[in-house]
Amino acid sequence: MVKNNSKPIEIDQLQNLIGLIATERDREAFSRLFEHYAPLLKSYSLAKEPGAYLVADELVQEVLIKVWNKAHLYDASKANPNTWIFTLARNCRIDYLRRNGRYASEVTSEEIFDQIEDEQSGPFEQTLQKKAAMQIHSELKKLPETQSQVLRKVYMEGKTQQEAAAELCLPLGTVKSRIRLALQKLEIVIRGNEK
Amino acid sequence: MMSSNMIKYHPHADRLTAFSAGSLPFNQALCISAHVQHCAQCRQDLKRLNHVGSELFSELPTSSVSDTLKERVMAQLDSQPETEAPDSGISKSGPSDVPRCLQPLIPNGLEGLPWKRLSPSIYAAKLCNDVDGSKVEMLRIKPGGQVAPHNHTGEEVTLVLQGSFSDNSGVYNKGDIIYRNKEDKHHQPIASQDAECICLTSVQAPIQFTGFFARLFNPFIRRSHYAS
Repeated sequence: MVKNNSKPIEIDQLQNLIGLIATERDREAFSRLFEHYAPLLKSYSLAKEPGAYLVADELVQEVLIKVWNKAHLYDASKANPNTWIFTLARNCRIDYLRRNGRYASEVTSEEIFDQIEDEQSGPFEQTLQKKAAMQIHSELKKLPETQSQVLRKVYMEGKTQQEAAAELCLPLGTVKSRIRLALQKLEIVIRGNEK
Repeated sequence: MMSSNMIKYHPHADRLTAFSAGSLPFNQALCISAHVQHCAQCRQDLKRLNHVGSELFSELPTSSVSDTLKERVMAQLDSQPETEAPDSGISKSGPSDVPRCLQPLIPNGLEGLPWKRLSPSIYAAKLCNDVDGSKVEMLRIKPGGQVAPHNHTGEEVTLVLQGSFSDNSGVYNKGDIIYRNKEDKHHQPIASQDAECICLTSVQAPIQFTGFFARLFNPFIRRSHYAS
């Protein structure tokens, strides 16, 4: 069994491992990264899809091969390793669902997201983003369970708001307002001027 | 890319969240991606929302992974292609008047789309259907052109790509994203007088035209959600 029960790896260690993969094609570094992330990626669930456990391995494999191939594109000033891996996993999951008929389009997840995540920010914005990341890290744990539960359904299980509402036996409006309340506490988005 | 301080209409926080989580229906994700290309503010919000995903991800309970999976992945490393140069990773070419996420659907630019005339002042070109039955279209409204008054049976998302239009609730400019649903009665958009208006729209279910003549014509306009 691959174990993820050794000492927790610090963020800067993870960054170093990605760096070693990029510059040295270091298989030992990749192996350590695999042991850290594969058990998380496997849990990053396809719960809504029947037979999810069959594709979970496939997704783990796909994301980690991407890590090997894209390590040289990783930029620590834009995203910490967890955020980078999360966005890779999210994109792989979207493309998996697309190939399997949930989305009918030629457009790939990269074309949807890359222009956003590739953007270079100035030092001022980087400082703001770092501050925001720390805020999110500490405040997320303090959210009421009703709010974090909805966030987990949407982020980790990939549920639409309608699906989350149906599963939790809540009106759609309640799901939306729980998300908005959570984001206010995390100080992410305060405005809401959609018509 | 135009400055974002002129953009007044943004997606609500819960929609941006679903976009960042990758759980938004595809047709809506397309509209938000095109909005975000114009909107620095939403790009900043999305980076924060990605942190939320990242934190939830790193807190997941771990699942056991078999040694054979690890062996299989390690064995594949040798057969991976040489890494691409960082700058060749993403193609940035393509028609400049088309947001990047739409380029696969509009390979020859806006002029190259198969525009269909729906009325003297409105042209539409279908881009794709989503599996849930929603339809993504481009709309082109001549200066001062009017879309027939209509109600919505499902949700409609509109993103202004060029020019501007107005309805009884406001004036919408390049980059603005507007959501309408069945509570919004008799929505009647009019393009501004000075320029043609080009919009990306995604409609969940066909809209109903409410004027008497429009109602008469309804059976003939199924090929598009819009006509007058």
